[in-house]
Amino acid sequence: MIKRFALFLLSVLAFQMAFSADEDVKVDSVRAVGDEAEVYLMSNTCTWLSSGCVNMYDSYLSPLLYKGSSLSVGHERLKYYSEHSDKFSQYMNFVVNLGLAENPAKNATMSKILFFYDYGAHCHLRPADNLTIMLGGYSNIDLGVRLLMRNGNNPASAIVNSNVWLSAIGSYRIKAKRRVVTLRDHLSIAAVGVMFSPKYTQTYFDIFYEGGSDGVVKFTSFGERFAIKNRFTVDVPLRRITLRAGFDVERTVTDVNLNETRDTQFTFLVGFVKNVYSFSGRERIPAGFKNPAE
Amino acid sequence: MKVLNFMSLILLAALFLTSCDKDLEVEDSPRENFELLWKTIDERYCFFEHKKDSIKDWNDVYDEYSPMIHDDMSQYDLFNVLGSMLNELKDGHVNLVSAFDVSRYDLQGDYPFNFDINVLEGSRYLGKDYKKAGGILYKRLSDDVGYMYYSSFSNSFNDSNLNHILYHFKDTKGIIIDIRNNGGGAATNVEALADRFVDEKLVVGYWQYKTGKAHGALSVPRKIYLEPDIDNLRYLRKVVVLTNRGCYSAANDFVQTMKGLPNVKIVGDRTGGGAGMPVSSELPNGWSVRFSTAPYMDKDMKYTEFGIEPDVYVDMSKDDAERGIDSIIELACRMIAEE
Repeated sequence: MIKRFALFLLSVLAFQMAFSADEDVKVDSVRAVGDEAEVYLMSNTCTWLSSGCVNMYDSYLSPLLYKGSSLSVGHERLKYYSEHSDKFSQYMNFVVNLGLAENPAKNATMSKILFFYDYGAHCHLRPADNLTIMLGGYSNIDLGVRLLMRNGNNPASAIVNSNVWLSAIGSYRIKAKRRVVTLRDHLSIAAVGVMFSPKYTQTYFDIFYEGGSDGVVKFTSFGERFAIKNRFTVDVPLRRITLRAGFDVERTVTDVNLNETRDTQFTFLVGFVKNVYSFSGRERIPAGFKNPAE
Repeated sequence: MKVLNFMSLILLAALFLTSCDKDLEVEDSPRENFELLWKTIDERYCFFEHKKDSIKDWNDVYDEYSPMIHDDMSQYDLFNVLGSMLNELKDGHVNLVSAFDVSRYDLQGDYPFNFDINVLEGSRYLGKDYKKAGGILYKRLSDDVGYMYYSSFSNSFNDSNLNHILYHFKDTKGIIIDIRNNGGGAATNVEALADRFVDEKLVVGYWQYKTGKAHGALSVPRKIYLEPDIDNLRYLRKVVVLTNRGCYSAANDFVQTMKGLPNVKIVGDRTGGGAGMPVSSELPNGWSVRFSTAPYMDKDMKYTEFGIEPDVYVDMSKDDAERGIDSIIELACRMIAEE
């Protein structure tokens, strides 16, 4: 199932790549037409697919560690806040994550589906010509569920949380022959937030039908919810596309209301990068740009 | 060189992943399975305090069963030992489930069955002309008495089913709800059935759940209300609920709910109990285990884990049964007719 889904997503990405290649060329060529003295600040976007291994543990569902596979698809965007300043950029990341893991005896499967959305900002420092360091933060909303269907009255465990993350991105450009390869490392750590957790053995029936919702949303900090993510990627411009490849390591440990969860993922990532210049609302469209809708 | 550094980075990350959760790696050995089962029950089972005078101390149970565990024992022997250990809890909601067997506590014991399906299906009662709406069989036993048999709270019914049943009984003096040998099912069906027999919002019980690992760590009891189903047909005349030791779990919950209603009498034998909502866990060898974590109490805040006494106690007479007569139904019919 997960392999078929991966193939489907790869096909969608390949389709998108084929139709977006021309657009990239146009954007680049349009920029060349612009005034040499004027600098247009672009957005860097990447649509990616990642797959790898996952360890899942949720004491509400099972006392055992489940091991299996993970598949994610996501879209990330870095965009300058203003067309007049290259000091601050906004960061957006949307991911759909699927996990399937088995218990040690391999006779039960825990599945996970998680949607998460990150939005934040970074300040850009450029200590050297080929190095950019971005420091900032973002907040997230995670919505998802872990399922262990063989459990009778406790088959599901909701994943609902929102956090403030500290974020640092290092971007290093290497000139290699006629192309520039970009190495990037993005490290984030959750600082504070809120998360949902039933109280120990409390059932969802009690929470949602019997009014037992007091105390199920808790403030969290490093002690209650430790989460760290690191993504290392390499952007390689090819003939008509820019390929992004790399790996993600994610570790989340929560201990709230005597329910403990642990999620560890190690995934390889591949995606396609687009650098775009977008206009919206009443933004001034610089001379030299042509809109096909007008 | 750069490629080597990159590969090292990947290797380090992979090592990080595999080394993080070593404390959760549990060996699949008889000893580890025993220890995890004992600990799971110790920390999560909800009735230790309530049953302290009627079951063995759980630490004593450990001391008694631990020497029986050997690394070279077969899975069948291990299952028997662990199943016996769980039966010390005297709880029908506690089961060990393997691919080859399910352990269970014998609720019936030497008590009389007080139910005979052959008698019920005889011409005096259901016969061949009964009706069936959803999972409920029903029939008018006389002009004055309506009869419903609901064999499992897992059998579904909907509002329309109940409306048709109650309309069929509209001019009777009373109805009999027979839930003997009903082993439980969905708790939602309890409320869906009981709210047809109440005229005002009532407190019919309380429930709690485990809030910590200590045996007595239970939440503050929360009231369970029963509200009339004002959008559908209701029956507010005499209702007699028939019970026996086979009424368990959701059926016990139904009896607990109905016993709080002014127009209802419980007739038959004590129910089997099972007043704790069970959840599941598992062992390293893949066996799953079910146990209670959320106890129910009646409207007087008394646990009903060991069953509920009827208002009128009556056993099925063997002589009656041989003549195709159900002594319990007969008494219920007389009680309705007397009103």
